[in-house]
Amino acid sequence: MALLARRLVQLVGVLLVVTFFSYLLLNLLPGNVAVAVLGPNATAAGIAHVTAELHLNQPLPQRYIEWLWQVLQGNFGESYHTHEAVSTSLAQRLPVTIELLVISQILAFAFAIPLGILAALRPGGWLDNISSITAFGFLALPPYVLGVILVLIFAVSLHWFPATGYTPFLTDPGANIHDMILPSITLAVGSLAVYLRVLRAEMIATLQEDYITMAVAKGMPTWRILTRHALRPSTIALVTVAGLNVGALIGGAFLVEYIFALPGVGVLAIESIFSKDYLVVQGIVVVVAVAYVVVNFCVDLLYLFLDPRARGVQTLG
Amino acid sequence: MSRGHTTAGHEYPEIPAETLLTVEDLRTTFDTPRGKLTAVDGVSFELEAGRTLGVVGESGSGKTVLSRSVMRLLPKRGATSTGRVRFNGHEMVGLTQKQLRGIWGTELAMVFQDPMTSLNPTMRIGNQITESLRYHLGMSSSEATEHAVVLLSSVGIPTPERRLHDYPHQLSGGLRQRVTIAIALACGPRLLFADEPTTALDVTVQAQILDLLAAQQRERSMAMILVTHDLGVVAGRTDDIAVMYGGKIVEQAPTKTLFAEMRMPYTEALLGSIPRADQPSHTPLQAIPGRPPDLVSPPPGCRFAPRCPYAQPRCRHEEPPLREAPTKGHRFACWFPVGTPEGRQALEENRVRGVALDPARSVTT
Repeated sequence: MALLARRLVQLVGVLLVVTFFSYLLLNLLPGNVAVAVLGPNATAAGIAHVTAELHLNQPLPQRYIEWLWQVLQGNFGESYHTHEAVSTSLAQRLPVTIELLVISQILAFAFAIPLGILAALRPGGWLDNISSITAFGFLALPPYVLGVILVLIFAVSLHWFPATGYTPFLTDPGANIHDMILPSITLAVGSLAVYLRVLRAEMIATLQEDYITMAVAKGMPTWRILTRHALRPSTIALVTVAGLNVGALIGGAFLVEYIFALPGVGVLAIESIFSKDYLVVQGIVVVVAVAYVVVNFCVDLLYLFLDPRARGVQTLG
Repeated sequence: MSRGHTTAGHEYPEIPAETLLTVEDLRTTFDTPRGKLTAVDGVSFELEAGRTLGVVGESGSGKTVLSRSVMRLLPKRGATSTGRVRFNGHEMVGLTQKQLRGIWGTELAMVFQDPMTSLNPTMRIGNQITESLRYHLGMSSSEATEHAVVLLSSVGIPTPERRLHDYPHQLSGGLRQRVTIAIALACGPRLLFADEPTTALDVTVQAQILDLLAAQQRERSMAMILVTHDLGVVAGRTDDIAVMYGGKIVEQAPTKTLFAEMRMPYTEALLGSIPRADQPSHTPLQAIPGRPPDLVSPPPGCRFAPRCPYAQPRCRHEEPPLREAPTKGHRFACWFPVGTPEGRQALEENRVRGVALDPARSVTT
């Protein structure tokens, strides 16, 4: 538990740094922040209003602390274009992005784990060769190419799935999943290829370990050796890669949302960047950065579950 | 020393003991980039139920591959193993993996060299013991746990109930090797392979582990094959000893006979390389010069000839067969055996000629 407390303190430290730099982003804009936020047609009254609201006449550390206090209460400010609270837009858009990320990762793991195990069982076998070649092929295909190809085949030619569009889950769960399949596959393929390669390599190494020979000598069946003895020690690298992959994945999700016209955070970010809606961009950056840090914190905790040696030595007796 | 000779076969020599393991002309090769490597080359021996055989040889002599070949625990690819292995009524050569799984653990078990790597670091000790009990003997979870506690205390682990929940990294090397022994003994095997079971342990713990193995072996009247590079380890703990060199058995005898009247110069050299308490301190150890033979293209004749102080021209082109010595159960492969007139003469001739034991140089006549 002391370990957990130490990790939590670290997490808070990292979060402070991350939010500070996210906040700094707005202040790094050239010239007057209020002018940048309001655009070229800003009026003197508007500038005065924004300066007051964003506390622009106060020193930076103080502004940061006041801003952070507001953010902790869920207040990211409001868009100067739509006059909608940034938190409201995020609340609408985040579930779409999260759903896309979660489904794509479930798909990636659901295929990568069994394929990685089977490929490692017979390295150089037909399954290993086919999965390796396919994985490399998909790795070389960026999502914006793959997405378009999938749309051409499964939406335009076969009409199995819609090319674009989104149905909220609560309106019609079936239609929601149906809409999400192509985007999720597009996003999953890159992760799948990486996870498959990492797990395969780790499994091959693990299967050389003495304790695997020992399990064989105990007369344990192959499936039990693979799942009970070899999988867990082999997933440590996989979990690390999955955590680090979150950053690339979020970038990929933004692209996929754009291709399939999903109303997620990515599309919001792109729109806000084009319309110079800086407070919205800032809100998104904060949320994404915090999410990345928190996911990797969870990965750290997962190590403790996966590898008893990481829990610290506590000898009995 | 007498402990090894109290088994049924010796007390009642007129009743032949049950043969548990018969190995005939066992040959195991590995495909390597340089060609076929013959790690075990035509090995034959027998082992009676409840007895202990020590297999001795230096690194690369094929002793570990021999035990893996008898168990049929070889890599699926790149390894070929032929010959006959008859164990407890099974013809082991040619059995499928599935058939072998019915024998592994239950009739045939193995203790590995390094307890630091042979236990799964991510599984609790309890699970590593109970899984074979549940899988092979169909025990329920609670039965298996009870049995595991009994096993752990029988191998001398204090507070076994608490140790069940430990992970291997929480135990010392000696305790871990006790755990691997408990795992190997779990389903009551009839033959236990112990492959250098003490090499990775502290000297102070080595004797304890060997005594534990001997005690368990007697209690369970289980046969054991103790593989080691250390003649000192097998001296008081085995009924018979087989000395391996270059993938072949070069001498085999009941333990007492081997030490009393060894015939093979390699055995003599192995014994000479053990430090002895009766010698004054700082006596240099007699290392065996040269290196073990290349098993991809072994030299013609006797494989030990290039390193042998007795070697004569004949040794270099004619391979000595494994032949019977006058004493029962004693076999050796040598043209100029230790302790015979021929051997003494060969040694003397080499001394007179001043042949250095440089394997790079050849003996000239």
